[in-house]
Amino acid sequence: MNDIYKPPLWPMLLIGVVSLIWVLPLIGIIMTSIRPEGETLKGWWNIEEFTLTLEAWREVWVNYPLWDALWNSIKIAGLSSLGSILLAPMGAYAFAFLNFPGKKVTFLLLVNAFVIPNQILIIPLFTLWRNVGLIDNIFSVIIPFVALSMAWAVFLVRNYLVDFPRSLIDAAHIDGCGHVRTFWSVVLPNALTPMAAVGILQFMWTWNSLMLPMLFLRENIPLPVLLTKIKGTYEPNWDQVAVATIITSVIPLLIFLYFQKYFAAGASNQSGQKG
Amino acid sequence: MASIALNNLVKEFGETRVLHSIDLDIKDGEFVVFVGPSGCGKSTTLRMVAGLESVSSGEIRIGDREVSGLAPKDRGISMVFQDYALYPHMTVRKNLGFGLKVSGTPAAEITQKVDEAAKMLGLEQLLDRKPKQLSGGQRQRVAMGRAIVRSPEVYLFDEPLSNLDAKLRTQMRSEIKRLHKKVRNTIIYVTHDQIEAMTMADRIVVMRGGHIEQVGTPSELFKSPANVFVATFIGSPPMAMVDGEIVKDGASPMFQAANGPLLPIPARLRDKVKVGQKVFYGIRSDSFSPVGHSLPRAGEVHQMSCTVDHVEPLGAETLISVALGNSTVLSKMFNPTEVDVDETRAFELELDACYLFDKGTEQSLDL
Amino acid sequence: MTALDRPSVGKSVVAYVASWFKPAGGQRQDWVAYVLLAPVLLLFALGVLYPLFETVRVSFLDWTGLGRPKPAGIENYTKLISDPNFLNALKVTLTWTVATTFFSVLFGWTIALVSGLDAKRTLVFRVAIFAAYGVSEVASGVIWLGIVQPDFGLINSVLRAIGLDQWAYPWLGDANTAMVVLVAAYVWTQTGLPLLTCYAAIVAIPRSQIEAAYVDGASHMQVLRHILIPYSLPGLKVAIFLVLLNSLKAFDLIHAMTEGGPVRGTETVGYFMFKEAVVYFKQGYGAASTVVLLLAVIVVSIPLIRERSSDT
Repeated sequence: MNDIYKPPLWPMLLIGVVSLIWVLPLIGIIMTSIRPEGETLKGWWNIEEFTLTLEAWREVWVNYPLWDALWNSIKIAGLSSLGSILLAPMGAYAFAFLNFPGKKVTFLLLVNAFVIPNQILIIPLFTLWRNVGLIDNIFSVIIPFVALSMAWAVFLVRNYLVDFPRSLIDAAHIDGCGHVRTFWSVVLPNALTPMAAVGILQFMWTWNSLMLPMLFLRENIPLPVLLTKIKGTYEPNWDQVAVATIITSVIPLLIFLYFQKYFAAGASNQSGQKG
Repeated sequence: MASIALNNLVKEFGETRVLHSIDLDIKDGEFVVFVGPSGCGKSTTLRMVAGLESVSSGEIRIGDREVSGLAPKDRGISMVFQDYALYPHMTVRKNLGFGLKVSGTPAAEITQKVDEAAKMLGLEQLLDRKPKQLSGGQRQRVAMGRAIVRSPEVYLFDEPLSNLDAKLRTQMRSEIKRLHKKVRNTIIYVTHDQIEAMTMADRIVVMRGGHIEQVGTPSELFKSPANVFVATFIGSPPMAMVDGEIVKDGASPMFQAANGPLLPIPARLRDKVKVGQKVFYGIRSDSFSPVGHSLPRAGEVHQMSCTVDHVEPLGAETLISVALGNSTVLSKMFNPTEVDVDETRAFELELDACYLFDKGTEQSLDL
Repeated sequence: MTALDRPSVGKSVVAYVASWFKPAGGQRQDWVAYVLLAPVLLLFALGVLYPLFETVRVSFLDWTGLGRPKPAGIENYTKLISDPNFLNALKVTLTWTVATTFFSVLFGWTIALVSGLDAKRTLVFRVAIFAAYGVSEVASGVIWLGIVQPDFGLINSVLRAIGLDQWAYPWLGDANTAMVVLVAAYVWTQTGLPLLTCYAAIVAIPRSQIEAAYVDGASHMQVLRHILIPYSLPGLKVAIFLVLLNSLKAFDLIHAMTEGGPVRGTETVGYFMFKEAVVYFKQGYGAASTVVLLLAVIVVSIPLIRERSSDT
């Protein structure tokens, strides 16, 4: 485009100013985390006085069970992503390539479940988990996380597989594979892109979620739940709250920025359009 | 080694019938080409033989077995696909050996068979590459190698050359032909390209709209096409069809081209026409040339003068279009000299190489 | 034929629904599909379908979590429509969804369009705006708590610094301003989504079209108006639905910032059900309000569901 016209300056300036407003809260939270709380308390925007200190970054691990929460977050988000990555292609393969009675109705039911709010789950699942003793077990959140993800994940992988070269599957059948072997040896190794997309979206979503872990977990809580507890204490240490906020956000944020293109795929997928 | 028989083979997709009761016997070791325009049912038939499509009714026999209920792997076939269908995540070696691995062949035997096939096709240097790193021609060869490795009774080819450029296509045609001479297995080969069919086949099956139009050797189809479709489909440039009717002119019947000249009827057909019958008069360009620029003619020749409409010099010969009444006919000028558009010159027509087709049934009057 | 071709009369509806269960014409059946689908469907049944039906069932019970549930008929629902707190929640939900959707989509769309004029030099800025979408609602809530904190938060400290002390305000202490703050925080996180979908639609414009327009002497505003805007519309449509659905279901941010307060001023239906069912143990009642939320979500998603379903 640059060859034939020079873009004007104002779009860059306008977007630049807007983005400054957008990153301001992030700058603020970082600033708060690296100065003594006393300075922040004199005014969030006070820059006349600034002392660099990493005290809060050391203290917060001692004062709050941040390591445990981080580890729980990793376990919950990791296992939930793994579950979705493994299960979604199986469903997607069946819907993309196989004929079976009830295919259409199952598919419609499954993929349209993406509209269901999490609030629907909490009363029945809480009762169920309490009866089977799963409260405070990370699987009490992993199971609904993976189940809910099937709605969009199966759809996303299926849309990819619909464009998968049909002749590869035919070739596998000629080579003597049944459907399970074809799925495992031929389709799966060539569907890594949608599987990665599913994994990344699911990781972000489960890492950032609050409602289900807050209700189903007691001790084994992940970072967002811990963060609400920290900020809810009577007199929060703002510098340490800031550190906890950064720790809660940094991993998904980095993944998110690095894998932006998968989110484009995911977003257009939720809407039913082909990405 | 196996013969193949298709009996009353029918394929329906929902309400639509795409294959209407196909009957065909293929001899052991025969190279049969299915040819026809897209949608004629040739690929569907092939895929049914392969076991990739179910059979709606009728039967498929390979050797002495009825195979229509069997899985592809139990039919003793292998297949080469149009887009080659090489597994992108496997090396050439793995691609070649995958079928054997699935069937539980011992690793040493797989290596040996893969090496043999690779040697036969000149793929030794490429065994550790992935399909992405190969050229179109190399991929094609790997696809054939994969079919060979399984040493099947029947090879099925689904338009295997249509993704290659013209030069490679010619080369691969002779290679496949050579391969067939060597292994002598039964081959069913599907293509929409009549030249491929003519150059490779022992027998050609011409299909259209889910029906078989004609089955025969290449020269049978060329010399005695059963109907207008086969006549215009086989041979290049296609046979021209001059629209007209049979009239009585003195003692013998003649062909009156619509708004055009009167043409004599080939001797062999004079008893078979009826006055007033609407017919097409089929003329191939080879048998219609400017006087002095034709091949040596054996039989009866008819001379007429025509006006040149359009000229296409091809080097060794020149194609001239002329109008015969409402229809355009191509003439082939051998040892060409300069020809001008709108020039009127004398042409000669070799009557024994002309055909008549009933306009209603489109069937050849030779039958 | 698309899956959701409008069935017109009763008989055709029956045939139409029956067609869902029929396999595609004449094809062979692959029973192995059930093997592949079994884990997916079992999990889905346990984690989604069972809770869905159970929530509907519980909504017809008088059940406080303790004691024995008693059948209550539609009593929970009749109580809901006369409960001023629920009516308030409906009103709050309406304000909340409309405001958050409107502003996020407006901002995201505008930014995408303007960036379309100069993709290269706006890249960094776009990523910066987009980044907020990757921050969890809880973390955003905490960050925004800091911004509106009455004593030293960004807004009040800036106001005081420029001598407007009398404007400094306990923003979360007032139902109206609390709503504004909550909407602002949510818009901050959600704007990245419309930006993403609209910008994706704009990048997909064939470059030759834009070049042709400039060659024909179009101004930047004309290119914006006649090429970028029309092309961005599919992305805009997607964005509206996604943000709308997200804000209808919103919970985390509200919980992190206001817990529905003050005086239920920020209590949406999605939060109301949590309070009734979890905080006050009125499970039947909470379930009934959840069913209302579900219905709202379904109504909003009908166009999306149609589109998805026609894809089969």
